Amino acid sequence: DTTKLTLSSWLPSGHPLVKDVIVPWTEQVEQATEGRVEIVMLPSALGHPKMHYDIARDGQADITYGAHGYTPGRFKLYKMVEFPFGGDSAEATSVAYWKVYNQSLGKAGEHRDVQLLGLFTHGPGHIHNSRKTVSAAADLKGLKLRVGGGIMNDLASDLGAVTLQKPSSSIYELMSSGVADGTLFPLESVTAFNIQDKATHTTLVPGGLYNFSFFVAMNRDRFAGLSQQDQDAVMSVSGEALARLAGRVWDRVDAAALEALKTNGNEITEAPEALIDEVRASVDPMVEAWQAEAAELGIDGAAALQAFRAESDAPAAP
Amino acid sequence: MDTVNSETLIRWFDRLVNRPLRVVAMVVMFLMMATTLVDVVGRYLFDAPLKGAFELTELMLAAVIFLGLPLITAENGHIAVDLLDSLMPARLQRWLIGLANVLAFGVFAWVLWDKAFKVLRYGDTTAVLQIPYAWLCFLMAATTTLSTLALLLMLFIKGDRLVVRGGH
Amino acid sequence: MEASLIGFAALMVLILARVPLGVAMGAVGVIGFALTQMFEYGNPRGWNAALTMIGSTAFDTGLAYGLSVVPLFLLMGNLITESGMSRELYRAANAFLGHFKGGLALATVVSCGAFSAVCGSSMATAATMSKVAMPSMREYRYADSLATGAIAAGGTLGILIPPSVILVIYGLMTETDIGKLFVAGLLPGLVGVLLYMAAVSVVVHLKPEIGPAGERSGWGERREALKGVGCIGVIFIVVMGGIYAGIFTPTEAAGIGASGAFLLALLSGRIGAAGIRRALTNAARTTAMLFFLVIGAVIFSNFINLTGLPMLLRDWVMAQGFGLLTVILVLVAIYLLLGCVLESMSMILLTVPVFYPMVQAMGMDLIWFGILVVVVTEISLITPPVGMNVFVLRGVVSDVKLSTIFRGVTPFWVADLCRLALIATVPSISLLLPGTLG
Ligand code: NA
Ligand code: NA
Repeated sequence: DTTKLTLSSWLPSGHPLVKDVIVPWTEQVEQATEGRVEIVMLPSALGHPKMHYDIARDGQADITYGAHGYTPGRFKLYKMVEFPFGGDSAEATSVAYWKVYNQSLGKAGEHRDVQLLGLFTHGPGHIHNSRKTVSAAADLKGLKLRVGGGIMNDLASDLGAVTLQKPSSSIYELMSSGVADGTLFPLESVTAFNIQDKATHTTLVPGGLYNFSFFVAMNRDRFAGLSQQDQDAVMSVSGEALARLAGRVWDRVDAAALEALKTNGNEITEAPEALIDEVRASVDPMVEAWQAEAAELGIDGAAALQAFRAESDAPAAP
Repeated sequence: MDTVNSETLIRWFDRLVNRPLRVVAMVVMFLMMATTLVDVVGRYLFDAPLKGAFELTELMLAAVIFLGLPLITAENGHIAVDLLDSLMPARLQRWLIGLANVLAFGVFAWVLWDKAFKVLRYGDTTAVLQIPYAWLCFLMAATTTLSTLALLLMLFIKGDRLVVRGGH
Repeated sequence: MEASLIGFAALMVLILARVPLGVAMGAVGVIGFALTQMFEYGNPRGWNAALTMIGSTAFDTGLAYGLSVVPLFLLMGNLITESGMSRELYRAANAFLGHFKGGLALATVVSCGAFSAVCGSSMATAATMSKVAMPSMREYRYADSLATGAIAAGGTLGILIPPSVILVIYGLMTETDIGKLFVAGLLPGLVGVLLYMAAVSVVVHLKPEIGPAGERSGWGERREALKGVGCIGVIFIVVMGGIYAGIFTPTEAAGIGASGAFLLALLSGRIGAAGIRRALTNAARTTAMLFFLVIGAVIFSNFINLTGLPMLLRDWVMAQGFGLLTVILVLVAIYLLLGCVLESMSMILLTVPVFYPMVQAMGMDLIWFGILVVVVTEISLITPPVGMNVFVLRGVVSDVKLSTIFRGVTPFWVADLCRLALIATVPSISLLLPGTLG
């Protein structure tokens, strides 16, 4: 007999993460378990995106995905992948993330209340704005940038931007009204949120100015309730395989977005060495602070970061 | 319980619960309004939006809701439909609804306490100002408990409302 | 599917037994969620899932930034009420319309419409305007039916003419742009005012004795009266103009509107410390009442979501190949029926999550659907036996019989049906203005 598992999804059903990652993955799970496990996606989310770790932990839905940054203060180690210069390919950073998590970060037990099925990142984040070419921190001075919380916010305000902490879904409204001059986004989001005609100047930061950490989690008791055979089958298509699947999709949509921006006639510049140095100077203390946090959890942060960057084939670590 | 004692009870509830909650709710409501004003004016005139205005507004919204909950509960102010009242003996209906309310609010309070301790354990904070959410969760749990208490007292004193006459 | 139908039935029983709506929706939602988890999905810890859902929902709804417009718009309306600007509005409308047959009723409708432009709720509009308009209509010997009917119906304009608490909730449930919804409500609201005025004219034409004409005001008097309502105009223009021009988001507009009302009230010296305290605490109390309802409804819709009903309904309707107009007709009929017993907010909270995926799949613009739904729920406010605006009015003028008020709203009810037909068949009434927003 089949076990029916529920999945709560908060992104629109047409979003690449849902259409090309989550849905194909649920099909892989059904195949791997020869139909003994069926995953039912609920018609709409059971709550705000930031509730989705809790939703899986408490079993309101059996499986969820979400972002660590949506619940500040709760997780510490994920920041490793959100620092600048993590890598140019989402596939490489995602796979590296999963491997380093299993080698070291996982020991801290940050996800002990759920069964962790996967970790991944989106593509590298860059700077997009409507006013000018950004090639140094001085160009950011007084620029109103929409940011998420966490590292994005600290970094952008360190570099001199006026930061607006607003949800990414509000960017069209913010930019068309001139409330915001720009935003930090991976390339895909520029076209996904339809701001390519407004954010006409893009500065690409090699390895990314920031990145974003996602998880896929399952209720612990529901996972334990599966037979050993089915648990193994589920994990065989999750973990590294899921990281690779998700990373590839992000890479694909980023590449398509870059083409679209070029076709649109947007100005695309690569961050000069000077800007990269300024970012590096601003981020070094943040990395140090993070290493101290990691040490409190019994994790060697410096070693983990180095392993991550070696694996994700990023430019040499600062 | 005789009327004099009920009156005393209502007066005490008003003094110890309603009045302080009213004052705090009023202040939070005012700050919520002022936060947006300072944020927007700061953004347009000084290029300096209020840091964390977004999350402060969210925190204050939740605080206003849950500070107001015991007030509206003590006034019997929750929306209900009184259409078929005559179908059941009035006293039976009063007790049934009263018990249903106490049970529902009791469960509500209990899950909020549970939630508050979980949030405390996780150390969840807001994104920019890093204000711990646990404070808010404990406030929510506490005022929901007070609402439950108000419902219990109302059942006990056989009254519909737990407010001092002449007050608003 | 069956589970959701049983859930709706259980909910109706509890509501009719006078269990508070928020408690009823929450209780059925939690029990239904737990049972569906256990029997549909074989989750042995279904109760744990359902109970923890209460906590997450309360937290999630309480901390929804988009919903912070609700208390702020409520505060704006309260401040304007406390500073007595509703009286000025009525005086101004009266200066221009008072000398017509049924002129005071016409003035009531117009000032209700104008008051709606700074007040987010229908019940508040009806309550405020009844205190102002009722005494003067009595003085001029208007029939109670026409007087109360005009106020109760005029009050319903409060949720269509922006700002509107219900449009905010609709926008958040369907992820529709709240600024666009507000702008979309303007024209249908104006049509509503005109049709209500037509209803008054027809009624006093048939029975001139129920609405005698008053005195004609001179132009000097009219100019004077207009000055008094300038503040309301300013606030409305700042709030709606700011949203329309993209100077601030709807959420910010609410805060600016409330601050504006606060400053104007202080500067005009028409509001004392007690008035400000009342405006602030009443906004907090109403917020608590509304959100308790919303939390209950979200719990209930999580249960309906778990049963898969909205998608099943959508797929079924699509498979039948019904036309959009047929679906709209059926939905309107369902809403009118529900409107007999349910209050507007609960109606929206209960039905919109179930219906919107279906109309969206049929290609209906969600802004248009929102306006349509709000117009239907407006009608419910004056439909017996449970018409919240009628109840509000009854609370203010306790010597008038409920049946008299319901008789008085009948012509307005007919006008509402005309407007509903217009909005259902001519989408551009709702979509013209938001279309210019880009
Ligand atoms: Na309004
Ligand atoms: Na009704």
